[in-house]
Amino acid sequence: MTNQQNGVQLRIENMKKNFGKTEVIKGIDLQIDAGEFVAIVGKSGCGKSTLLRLIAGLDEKTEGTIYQNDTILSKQNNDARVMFQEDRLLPWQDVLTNVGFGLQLQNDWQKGAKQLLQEVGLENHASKWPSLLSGGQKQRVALARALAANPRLLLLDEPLGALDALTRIEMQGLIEEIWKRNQFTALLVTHDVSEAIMLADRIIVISEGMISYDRDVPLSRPRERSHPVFKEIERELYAELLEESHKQQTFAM
Amino acid sequence: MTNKAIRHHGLKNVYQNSIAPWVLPVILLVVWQVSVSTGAMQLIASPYEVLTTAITYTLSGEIFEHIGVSFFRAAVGFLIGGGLGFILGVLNGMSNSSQRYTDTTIQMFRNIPILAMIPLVIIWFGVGETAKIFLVTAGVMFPVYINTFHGIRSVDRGLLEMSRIYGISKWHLFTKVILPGAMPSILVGVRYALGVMWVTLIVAETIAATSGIGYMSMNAREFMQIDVIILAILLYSVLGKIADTLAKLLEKRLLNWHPTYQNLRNS
Ligand SMILES: Nc1ncnc2c1ncn2[C@@H]1O[C@H](COP(=O)(O)OP(=O)(O)OP(=O)(O)O)[C@@H](O)[C@H]1O
Ligand SMILES: [Mg+2]
Repeated sequence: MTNQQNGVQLRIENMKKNFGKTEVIKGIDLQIDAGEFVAIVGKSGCGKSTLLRLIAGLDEKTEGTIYQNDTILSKQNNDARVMFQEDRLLPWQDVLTNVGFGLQLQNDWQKGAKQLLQEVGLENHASKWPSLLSGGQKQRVALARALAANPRLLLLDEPLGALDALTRIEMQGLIEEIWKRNQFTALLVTHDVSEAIMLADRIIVISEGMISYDRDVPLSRPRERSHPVFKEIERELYAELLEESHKQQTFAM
Repeated sequence: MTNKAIRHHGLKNVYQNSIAPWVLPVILLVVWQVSVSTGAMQLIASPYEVLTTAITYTLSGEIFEHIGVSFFRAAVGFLIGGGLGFILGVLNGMSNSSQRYTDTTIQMFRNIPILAMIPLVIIWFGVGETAKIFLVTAGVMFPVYINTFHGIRSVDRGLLEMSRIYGISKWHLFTKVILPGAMPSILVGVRYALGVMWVTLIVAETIAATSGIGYMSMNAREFMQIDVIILAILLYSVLGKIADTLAKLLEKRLLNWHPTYQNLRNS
């Protein structure tokens, strides 16, 4: 199921990124269809966040090209919004104003922001300070804020990483629902294998700065964790991830 | 609990919160009054004498003249010095090249003890208003500068990065993200500067002035009017307390989003 109209198509060619002398991304080629939901998994420190930041235009790549809808992406990516593991809400603005953060040059930003708050189920918290919300609620506000400009690419860097299991499942449902409705392209970095299978059309494993695994998830939505194909992909992914760490251990010896 | 017990409990609370803190000051006042009246303490005026002096000065209007002059010096010096410190802090906090060119120089000047400059300032400006305002300005500027600078530099990087993604204007970034983020630190600077302001003013007025609270006190010394001297000390304390209270109110208002102040709001 792909969403053609709204999402951007991405083509990444031979992308490399060094921090000083350390190579973090060592040559990634990747094509993502418009409206596709791609999950990125991999060991801690393998370069997932770096990849996302390069696509967002937050870091400068050392080498390579990113095409977005066939135009070369340079500097800031205005079509993209990012959600981080931390909510990054402004503590000195109430919830509504936080949601409208990117809209405040428009006159009627409050209307749009209220609508978005309703979509994430927080319309009753509009005038609260962020510090009074729970972790899950804060991430909902951050999600609403990211959606405010109707982004064509949503980059999610472990946005649910700090939440408890139940809240996480709830948020996964919300993200899936909004993705279906808004038809943007989504890139989700996660440590949670079942979260990746639950949400993504396609799963990519990055290890040591390269793509080591790439497969589609041929399950219809909504997905069931107990589905045999779900289980099988889960097994396969764990095997892949464990093999990677095993390889690295034998290297070290 | 029975009604009576609750009422008893309530009374106890009122006592502990509103009356208990005043017990010691009242005792001290009484001891002071008694020891002056009995001649046990010399070279000091009794609370009663200070009170009558205060009333006399108030009725003649003289007290308001001195307070007015002192307040004017403090306020003008604070506005100029605080304004300059704030502007320099913002410039250097926002711009690396500005910081490279000016920060070292500012730090050099900061190390000069302001009060040691008094003789020089008298030679330059005489004992007029300019001298006092200059000293207060110089004293206030540095704490405001440093805290503004550090406040801006220590704004959460995650928030700055987030703002970049949202492509907001520079002005918006400054007013909605950087300035509020630096505000807690700036207000620390303001409160510290208020302390410096009074100390500088007191010394300056005491050494070189022909009007103001400090002058009133120094003038009284020549005639051994100890009651007037004590009155001047009390006036400075009251003014200092008022300034501090205003600063606290400002903090409460500007930092009402801060968890520290939310507890106050809820209770
Ligand atoms: N700004 C930076 N300067 C220097 N090294 C960096 C910088 N950012 C990341 N790195 C390094 O690049 C590597 C990849 O980091 P990255 O944050 O992309 O990992 P990650 O896959 O997101 O890990 P995690 O799952 O723990 O979030 C790490 O070894 C990290 O130390
Ligand atoms: Mg990461």
